[in-house]
Amino acid sequence: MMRTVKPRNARSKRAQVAREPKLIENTKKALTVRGSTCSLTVQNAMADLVAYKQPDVKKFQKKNQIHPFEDASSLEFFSQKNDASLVLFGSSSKKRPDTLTFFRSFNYQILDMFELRMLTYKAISEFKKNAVNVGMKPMFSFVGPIFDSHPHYKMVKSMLLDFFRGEQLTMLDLEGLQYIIQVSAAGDGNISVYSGDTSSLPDINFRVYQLKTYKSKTQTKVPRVELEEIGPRIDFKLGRVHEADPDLLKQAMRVPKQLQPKEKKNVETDIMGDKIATIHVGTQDLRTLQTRKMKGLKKRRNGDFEGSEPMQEFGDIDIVSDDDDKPRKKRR
Amino acid sequence: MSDIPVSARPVTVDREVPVNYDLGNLALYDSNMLDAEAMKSEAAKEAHLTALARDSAQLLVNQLLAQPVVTGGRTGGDARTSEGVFVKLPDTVYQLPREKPVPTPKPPTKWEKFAKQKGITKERNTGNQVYDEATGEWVKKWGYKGKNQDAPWIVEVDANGEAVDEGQSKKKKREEKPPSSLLKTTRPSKRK
Repeated sequence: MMRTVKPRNARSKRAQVAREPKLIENTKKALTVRGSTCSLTVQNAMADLVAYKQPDVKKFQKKNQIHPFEDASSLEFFSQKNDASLVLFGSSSKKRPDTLTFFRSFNYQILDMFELRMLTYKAISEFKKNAVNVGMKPMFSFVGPIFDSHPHYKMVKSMLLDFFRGEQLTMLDLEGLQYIIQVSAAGDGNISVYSGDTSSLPDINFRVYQLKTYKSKTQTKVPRVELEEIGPRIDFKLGRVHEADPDLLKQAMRVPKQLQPKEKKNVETDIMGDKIATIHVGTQDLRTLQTRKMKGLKKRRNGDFEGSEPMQEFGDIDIVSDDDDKPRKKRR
Repeated sequence: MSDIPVSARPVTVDREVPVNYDLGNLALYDSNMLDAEAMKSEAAKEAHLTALARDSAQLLVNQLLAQPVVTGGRTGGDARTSEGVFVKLPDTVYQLPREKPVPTPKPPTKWEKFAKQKGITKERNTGNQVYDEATGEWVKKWGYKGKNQDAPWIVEVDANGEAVDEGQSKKKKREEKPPSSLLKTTRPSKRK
């Protein structure tokens, strides 16, 4: 572990505070690292992929003697030094040509990692020039049942979503909907999970399209969407996989108490989807209860009551109730 | 489809298995299978994938436009500064791992522990105003008309039985005197 130094000035203090664990986290930063041999195709592919991650990217230009599946400590070190929890590592060897390794760290320790071998690659530059603004959030589409069933493909889905989703927003400007990333895989999702034979696993198709919206002639406000491919177009084959340590993953998946939705008391939803609530009513004050109105009990406007003379003057009269101090109609 | 003008094309999409939305991440998870026939040839594959992506994008746009809309300049975030149409995004469905552990509160210092044990609390400066429950007004704690000043327990009384205001009588005396500037001018320059 790197030693933590007490900041000597305000600038370094700010930098340190920015790195601290937070309740609502910063946008994850990415780092591209080249292996000891890294073909031009891989370099271009890394640049193309990372173009959609801007501005949260740092690109390393030098070669590094790293073999992440043998020893990932160098990537962990880079991750810590640059405060980047996502690393895209490119390498190309005789045994594993044109390989991209997606690495993800938690607390600067390796969480999970997998290898994608590029089968076909068409660069952004080969498509018609279409600019997507920097920092726009992509839409995602994951097609194929295998992304819900196979643990390795689940990891791919989680990683790619994490890599490209960018800043977390609560309000989205509709102008910002500019492109969609589609990740698809064939197959019916019933592939045996650990057969050991990775060749039977379906390819992963990575496509990026730009959105074009047209006013629809139908009465709705919703526009008709058309797409144009902007690249890169890559078909991947899944290679080696480093699965997340269950303990570490559990820690990483923890939701802070403050962010957990508050439990609503006394409100339930039954099977039919109806909302049922229990209401607690305070004790009722019966003295202010409105009962039947009678003329005799009515208050006169000028303050005196029916039979305006004071009662004391009549010596022998029955008063309806003597425990009530309200004047009542007298009886002779 | 290409022979129909764009504006006349439908905005609804039919998927065999209904898709799952995760609008917080702007994502859609489609568990329909890819067309195995189309995936065999290169051209047909691209056409199939593009068609699927278009459908997904359309579905997502339809869902997003159904979310509560805020027009620029009313609520938090960027909406305050820039103009435009904003939609309120729901919470994310698909949970992604955190980057760093959940922050833990700082351990209390030796002094904080001791203070808690002894029940010592930090005295906060509450200002010079205090609520007087008798009159129902805010009064000063001290100073002029301050709360700490009791009514004088002994008062000098003049012949009429009214309290003598020492301050007022002094002021009167001062006013009876001519101003000092006048005194200066009328004073003889030198006395010998």
